[in-house]
Amino acid sequence: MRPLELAAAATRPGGRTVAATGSDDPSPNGPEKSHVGPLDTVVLALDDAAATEPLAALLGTVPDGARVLVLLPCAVVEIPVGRLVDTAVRGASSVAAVVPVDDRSHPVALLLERSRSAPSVTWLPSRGFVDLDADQSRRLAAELVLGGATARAQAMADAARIEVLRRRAVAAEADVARLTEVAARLRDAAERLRTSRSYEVGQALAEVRKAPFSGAVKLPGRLRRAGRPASGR
Amino acid sequence: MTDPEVLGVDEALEFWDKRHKSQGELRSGGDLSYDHAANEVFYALRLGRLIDILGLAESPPWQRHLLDAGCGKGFFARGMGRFGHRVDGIDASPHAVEECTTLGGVNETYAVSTLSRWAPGHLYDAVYCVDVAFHIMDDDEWAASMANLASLVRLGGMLLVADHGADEDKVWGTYQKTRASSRYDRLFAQHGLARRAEFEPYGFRDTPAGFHVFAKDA
Repeated sequence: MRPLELAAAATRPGGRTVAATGSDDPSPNGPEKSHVGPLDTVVLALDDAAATEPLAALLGTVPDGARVLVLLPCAVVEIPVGRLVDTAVRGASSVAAVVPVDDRSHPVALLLERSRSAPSVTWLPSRGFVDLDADQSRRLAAELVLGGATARAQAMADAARIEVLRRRAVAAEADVARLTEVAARLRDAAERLRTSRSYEVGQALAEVRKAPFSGAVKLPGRLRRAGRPASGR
Repeated sequence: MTDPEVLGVDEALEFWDKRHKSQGELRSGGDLSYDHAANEVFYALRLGRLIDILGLAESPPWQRHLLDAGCGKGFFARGMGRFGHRVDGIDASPHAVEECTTLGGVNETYAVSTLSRWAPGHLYDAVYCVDVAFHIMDDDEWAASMANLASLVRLGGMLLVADHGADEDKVWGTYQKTRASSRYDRLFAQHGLARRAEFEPYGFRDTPAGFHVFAKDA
């Protein structure tokens, strides 16, 4: 999904998709820059995911109920969880979702919702978290949403890396088996050559050429040996 | 503006990398006024205090994930790793981190980073910073470092920072500046951290240093 499609999907009925002041969205028919209402969704693209000052400033100005779609220039595993959770909680905002988006420079989007009252996180009590105040609920939900997303992404990245390594290992084992077979064939061929009669004769003649006297003395014996059957050696 | 009598941010980074290269395992990040034997005891004592405060890995029903912020040559990170905790160690000195990586165990990972710039994709059950904060001379860098460490603690987690327990700022030389306890209280409160216990002095010889212990409540 493209960032603006996601922003439109996140915008409540009657609300608009607007650009954060200072955001410079070059896309055609991009979000307009105007006053933000409580039903609107504001789109903010960060230049550095860990430099959250523009997000903190924005959260300080949007009204309760407004949503903020933060486009991050990093992969899910690289999301700076601490900075973003802290900025969201300090800006009285809940982290609703982390979504991969179809955008090269900003491949991840974070959907926040500004609300002074305690967020309604229905699944927190079921996990044993009760009697939390608004900030604690916001922080815990944000930690679980963001931390969970990065942990899952990391697990998937690890699994993909393991699969690549496993395939390399299988390929390497196949190479080893093939080369072992080639080596065995070459060893056999070498052995056959070493024990062949023509090899003995050739060696004997080469020695005669190199050292005519001692070679000639050894020549009869060598020729006798060459005359024996190979299996008898 | 930085006081010309004290080390600037870049000068401090260079100073510590050189010191880690030139000094032995303990004195490089330890107290230069102590000899190796005294530093050995001082390191062991602080590791013991950390274990006292953070607990053993068996204490909770899961392995704790810790950040050693400014790990130097990794004495405390290796110690906490040996006690079963999972530890990330960061330090601005490439030389120190290289040594950590060589000596480190299976429970530890190390990276070169300043305290203010470390932004991993996860939070920590506890962050500890042993005798590093008072070597950050630049106040803006100190505040950015402490704020960043505070943001890395999960709800219910702990932050330990070593400094002096006095409530005044004091410059001790070109590379040491202690901050008032109330500055830590104010800064960390903005990040949902409250003091969990009174200042915990090391109690070694006459050092006034010790741990400020905070927990994230909101």
